[in-house]
Amino acid sequence: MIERVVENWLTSANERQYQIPFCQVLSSEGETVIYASPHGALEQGKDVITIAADRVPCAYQLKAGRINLKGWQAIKGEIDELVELPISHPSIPTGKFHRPYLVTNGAVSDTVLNRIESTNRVWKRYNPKPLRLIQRGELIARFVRAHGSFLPRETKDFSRFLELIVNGGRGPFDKDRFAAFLESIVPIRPSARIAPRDVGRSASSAVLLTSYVVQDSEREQNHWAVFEAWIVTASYILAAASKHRTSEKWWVRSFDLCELAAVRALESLCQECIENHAMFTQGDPFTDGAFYPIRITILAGTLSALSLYHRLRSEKWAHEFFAHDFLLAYTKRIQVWGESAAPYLTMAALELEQHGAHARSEQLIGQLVATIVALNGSKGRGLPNPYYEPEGAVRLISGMEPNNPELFSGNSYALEPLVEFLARRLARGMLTHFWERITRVHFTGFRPTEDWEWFRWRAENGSLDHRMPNTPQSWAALLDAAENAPSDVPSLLRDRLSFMPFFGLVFPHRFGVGFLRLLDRAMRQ
Amino acid sequence: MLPDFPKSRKELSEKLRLHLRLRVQGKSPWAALGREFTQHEGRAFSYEQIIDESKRIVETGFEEMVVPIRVEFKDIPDLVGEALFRKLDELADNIAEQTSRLGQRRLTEATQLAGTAIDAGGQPFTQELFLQSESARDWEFDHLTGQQEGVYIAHPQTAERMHNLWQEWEKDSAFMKRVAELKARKYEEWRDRESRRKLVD
Repeated sequence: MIERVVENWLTSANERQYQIPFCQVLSSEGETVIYASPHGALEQGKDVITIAADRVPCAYQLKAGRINLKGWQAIKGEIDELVELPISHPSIPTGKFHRPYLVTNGAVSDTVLNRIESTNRVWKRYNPKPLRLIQRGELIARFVRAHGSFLPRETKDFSRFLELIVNGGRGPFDKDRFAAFLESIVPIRPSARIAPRDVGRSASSAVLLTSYVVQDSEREQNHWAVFEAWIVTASYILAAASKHRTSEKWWVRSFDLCELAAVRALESLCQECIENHAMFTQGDPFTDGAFYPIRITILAGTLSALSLYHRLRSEKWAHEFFAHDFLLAYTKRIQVWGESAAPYLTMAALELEQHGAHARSEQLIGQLVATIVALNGSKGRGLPNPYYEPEGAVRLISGMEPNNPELFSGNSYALEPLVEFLARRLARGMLTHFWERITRVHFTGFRPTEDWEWFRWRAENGSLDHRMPNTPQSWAALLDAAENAPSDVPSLLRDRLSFMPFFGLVFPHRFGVGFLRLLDRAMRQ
Repeated sequence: MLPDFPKSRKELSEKLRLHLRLRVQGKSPWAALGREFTQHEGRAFSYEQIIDESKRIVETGFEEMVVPIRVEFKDIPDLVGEALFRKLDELADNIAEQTSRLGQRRLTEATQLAGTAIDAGGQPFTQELFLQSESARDWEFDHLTGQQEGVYIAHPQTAERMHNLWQEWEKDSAFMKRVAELKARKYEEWRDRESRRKLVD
């Protein structure tokens, strides 16, 4: 069955779509991936560069579909570069010959095979290692082999997997269902410790399965959904690694590939925004108005998170100023659909600060605090908690879920971290203004019992803590607490600060005091 | 499997659960007046309790409520309309009773700890007992109207007796003066508490 899934997916994938899973296959076969062209663009004919187990560098060029003679002639220049030009990478010693590979998810015509054979004799003058070919049949076999035994076994898991694959790809990503599916692949359930190699294998399989699951969203260019899927997978890899205390070498490549795929999805989203000339409206104009502000909030949060990601890695990002201009022009359009919007607004606020727009940033968070205390501090239903994703929250507050009686007033998950955010900025006047209303809302936060459950979509063990704001509250004590070290954040997250903005958006229920203290501290440093 | 209609049945089941919930609230003041909170993950929770101006953290977990249901195969075909709602009402009675018992137990524990519990020791409900119990607790007032907020929960027979007593006591001007004095004092205390909702140095 999995062969059919791989075959169907591979048939419809373009070279960009199967690049990351292909890297995962190479990695699980023992090659060390040292480069995957970040934008899918060819660089000296090399899409992927690895070092094989025998220490020989390898360069891969990926193509999609059947390659006939006409196609071969069109790509011949790139193939020449692939074979003849040595790999220029700090990890590869100068003058070392590499193995060149042409990879396609289609077939190669006999004429082209003959051409490759004869041209290999010519290329020998530049590179003694001949061009090798990987075609569809071999690719499928290698993908299937890479899964090992980490595949859905129970009928219900396989059925969930197929439902995820055929989701249509246009709506928000179904993280709930996907997380349940991943829990059947990634070994987090057994209480006994499992071998590090198996943690690595399960991570490899999860990466490949994610590629199949997001195919519809990829086809629809639903970048937000693709981004969320990869971050959920990355989190589950951290969950398994943390639970079994597995050394990084077994799983970090899979994690990095997930992060890379998520970054690419956001880069594509950013590119779509840059090219958009319709003020980010979309689809039926009679229904778009209800969802437009939510889209703007999501864009503000994701673009900001991408910019923060590059900043935390000390990388220059080409679209940093586009993101900033977007925030300046569109933050007035944002809408707080529920508490799961808090991480989006916070990322926007943090990014605004990086451009010196401190007042704007504090105003944004101040408005969010005002909304929370107004809705959750009075009688009424209140603002949906962070366990409600944007669409779920909108459905609830618009009366589209008449059978759901859940109430939210009286508590807030985001209020305490936001109060501390303002305190760290010495916004005493604003907090003095709000404090009376803040005291009418209990600070709420979930504390997983063990670190590894932080990375689970829903933790099984943990405590939901409610705390009353102090009456009165000493400003000095508040300031002191806000500047305290973030104590309850797992070490795997502390070691990956650049992952935090993404994790916060995709797991809004983990956006608490510790999380924001750590992220804020990282940004201020 | 036999022909079935899972999507519609799921929707119907949700509606019935909502109906049941409302019936429980109608039957148990604890279910109706208690603060509701849905916990989406984890198995424990904690909250703060104020005792003598200081806070105590109460760490606790969930308590399971079990309602046995017995439905004979032969009854299922007719379990629609009135028969179905009768069955749901039976369930609601059971759940409401358990909810009230749990609420009563938790409140007793909390008030005993806070020192606000008054045990009449089986003696009749008197003016002194009333003033003593009212004096022990914090009163809340509506910000706009200044009206006292709060609800008395009592057994229906006790509630009726209390109502009758109150009608008598209302005619006792000395007692009503003491009630008015207590209310004035409680109002001041409330204002004092409210005035502490601020950020200070």
